Amino acid sequence: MNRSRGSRGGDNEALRQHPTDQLIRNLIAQGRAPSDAETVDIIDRLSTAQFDSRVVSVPETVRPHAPQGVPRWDALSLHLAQRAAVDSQWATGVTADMFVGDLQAAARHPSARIAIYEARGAPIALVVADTSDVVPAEHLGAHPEPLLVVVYSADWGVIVSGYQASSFDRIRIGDNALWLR
Amino acid sequence: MATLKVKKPTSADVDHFLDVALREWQLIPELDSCDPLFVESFLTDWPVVEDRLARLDRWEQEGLMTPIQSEKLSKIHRLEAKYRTLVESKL
Repeated sequence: MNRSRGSRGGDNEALRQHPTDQLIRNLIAQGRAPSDAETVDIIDRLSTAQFDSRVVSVPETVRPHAPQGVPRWDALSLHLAQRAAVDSQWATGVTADMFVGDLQAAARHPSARIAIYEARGAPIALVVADTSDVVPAEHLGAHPEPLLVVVYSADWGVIVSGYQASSFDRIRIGDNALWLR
Repeated sequence: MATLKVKKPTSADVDHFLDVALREWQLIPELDSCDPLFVESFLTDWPVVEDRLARLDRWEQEGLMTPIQSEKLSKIHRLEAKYRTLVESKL
């Protein structure tokens, strides 16, 4: 996968240089487990991260749910439309702030599993929590799944995906994953 | 917190998820010509595509599909047989 800058995440140099993002990249590169204090820093980072803000091409499956005639849309709106209107994992009335709040809450939950690893050449932090522990009932769509998955890019300092999955086996996690908890 | 309540699908739900799944599997041979940002997002969210197909299989086993819907699911599985190796190589 092309990792040229601009390929993923918010175009914000300050975010890329955030010390916790650098820590995640270093831990992955060194294959070193984080200390307790470093784990706290990573959880803090994940639980306050914003969603990717770049503008992305609207895929055909989402076009009926995008503003009419808009060929490109910001990644968060596109992602929420996908998860709510297309997948029915979240309710269609859920706002972008509510959606991001649910994703941020996952990392804060004490039972959430958190891993860091490299995926397609890029450093990733992954959070997996029970959907029912984190997502309020009124946010759920008609076809929710038991696990909430949050994918964070340590290159770009943003959440790049949030979705629900049927089981742990379904989630793609790198063989080289370091589990923080 | 919330208890997960899964709604029994209507025929319209089945049609909707069949249409989405069909388009997703048709997209795979086109990925190399798509916006790289879209491709990365599509691959990151691949478990959703897998779960969708598994759910459709379950609904068919539960007798929730019409013959026309079952034929559409078969078409998706033919695409899966053709393109699974390709998409797995990109994940």
